[in-house]
Amino acid sequence: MLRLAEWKDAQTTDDADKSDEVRSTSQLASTPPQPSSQVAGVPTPASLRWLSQQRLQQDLTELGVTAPELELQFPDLSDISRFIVTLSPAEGWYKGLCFRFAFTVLETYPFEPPLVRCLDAVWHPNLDEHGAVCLSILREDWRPVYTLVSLVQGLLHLLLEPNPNDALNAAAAEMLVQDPAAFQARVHQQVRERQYHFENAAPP
Amino acid sequence: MHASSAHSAPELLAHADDAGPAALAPEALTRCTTDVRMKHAKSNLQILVVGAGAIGCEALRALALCGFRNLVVLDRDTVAESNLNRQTLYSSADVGASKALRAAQAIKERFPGCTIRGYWASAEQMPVAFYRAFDVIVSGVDTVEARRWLNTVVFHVVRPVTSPNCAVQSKYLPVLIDGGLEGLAGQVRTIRPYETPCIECILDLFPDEAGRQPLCTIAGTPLRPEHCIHYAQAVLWPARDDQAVRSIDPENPEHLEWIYTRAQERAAAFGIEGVTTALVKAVLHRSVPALATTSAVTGAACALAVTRLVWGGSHAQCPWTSFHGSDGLYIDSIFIERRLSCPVCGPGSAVAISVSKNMLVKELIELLERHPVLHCRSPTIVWDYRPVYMSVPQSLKAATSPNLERPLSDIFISDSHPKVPDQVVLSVTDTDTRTCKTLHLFLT
Repeated sequence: MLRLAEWKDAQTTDDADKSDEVRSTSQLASTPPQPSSQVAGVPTPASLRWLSQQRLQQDLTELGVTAPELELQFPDLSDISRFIVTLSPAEGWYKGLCFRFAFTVLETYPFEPPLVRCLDAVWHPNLDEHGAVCLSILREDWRPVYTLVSLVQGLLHLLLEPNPNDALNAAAAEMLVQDPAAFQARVHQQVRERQYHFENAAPP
Repeated sequence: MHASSAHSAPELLAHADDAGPAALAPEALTRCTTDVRMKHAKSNLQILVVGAGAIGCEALRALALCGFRNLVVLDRDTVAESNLNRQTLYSSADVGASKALRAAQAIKERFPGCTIRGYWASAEQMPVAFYRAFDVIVSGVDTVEARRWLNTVVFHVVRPVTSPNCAVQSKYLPVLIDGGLEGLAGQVRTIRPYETPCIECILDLFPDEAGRQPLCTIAGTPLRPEHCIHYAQAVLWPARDDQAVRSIDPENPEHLEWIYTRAQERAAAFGIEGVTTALVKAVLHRSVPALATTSAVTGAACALAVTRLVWGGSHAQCPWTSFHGSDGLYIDSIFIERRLSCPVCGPGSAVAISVSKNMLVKELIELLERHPVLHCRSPTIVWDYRPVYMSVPQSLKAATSPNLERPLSDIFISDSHPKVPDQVVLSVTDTDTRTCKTLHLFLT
């Protein structure tokens, strides 16, 4: 760790001079000093963006190691903070279907959860037609200790066991309770409609 | 590096002389009485207080009362009328003036022997080297982001204590003392670098930021005006056609107006009253009510933590003091462990190496695998959110494998970085242990 301290010392002699300058000017004029000369946008270890990037990298590694078969797409290969996860449940109402979820990991991650939207229209009590996802760990129950693996498991759970008691799409929830057969038919109908649009759907 | 005056200790020597001839030896100086140590600290310790809000005001007053003479206070805000109930250094005449300057003035008036300077600036505006001059940094900031930022800065200016005469009982300086409060609960953490856990070590212990509500309540059955505002913020805002602006800026009047109008429409549809611009601002800022009692206890506990650093005391190994006032009164100090994989203070989390520009990426990876400190097994490398090489997940492996045969000079060039830099900062993850390390790479 001292290596870093020494290295920083060697690098920041210019900064030290500047700080003295800042101190004397603010004493005279009592105005806010000028921002430091760090280049905006490039993550340095002093920025939150850096920590967010490291955590994202750790999480992606964990995801790759624990779920090697999971399909992950990166639309922009110069930015690992945006990606698409494709989930296909092996049983339940949505058996055999594929759902794409777009993740945007913010620079405040892991303090803020990633933004997640479903890219495919689906008849589901906890997903609405615009792709909004009602999953507690994406909102009020999010904790920084959760990782991308927790979120992928949460989304899969949502597809396996839709929860009609905590509905975002109230009509779908009601149908699931009142008439499960109609619900299943509606799911399949929507999938057929979706196949038609699927080819033209662009990533976000 | 700034040699802190705390290390030269002329006054300490004078007192040690009084104690007898044996006091001339440095070993003896470390055993000198806590009274002498305290007296020395009071006149020499350089203390920075970041944030002159509820905690900052109380901490400044308590530190001045304890006798600490060298104080600096930093705050970018101005005094607002709503602050006056708990920020005890200000009066109604100060409304609109800089908090830092007014706080410095108030302390100076009450404690003429105290040298205090105020800076009207945000912590992020000050150059990193500014923080080098201090032995103790007391933080009374109001967001977790600001805490994390300050924590990172502390570890960038950290210096080892080489003199045995140092008044502060810590192996490294500056020591960060972080005060925080919410409602009737408060806490103070003493971060002695590399000795006690830093903010990043225990990030998962922070309480959740207020304001995230269940989406179903917001979307289905809003009950309170806050729900309508959250709906506009969480559902309507992301669904706008205008994708140019990604996140809401609570300071931007246009954004406020947009959210306010949408929230009002929704409130009207559900017959809810009480959506006001002030409430929209409060929700977007996630404000919580603050109480004068909690801030008095927390600010005093910060000053106590500084005293304890000098004094040693029985709780030196218990860096986390918490206070709960909602069910009776509870105060305790506990021991917490550091996190070895912490990206900020974890052992070996930052390393600097120098390599040739012509080195191939696969050669760099071999170097990382056999590097004596890093020992990375199948490392993944990221530069500015750009994957240089990642062995997992599969899609990134396929995309970055061609990079293995490319020289580094070819990799660290992009539209935003048109020239090969002399140095780059990479983050490197060990796939087996999933620990992350910071690598300063010098290209020659």
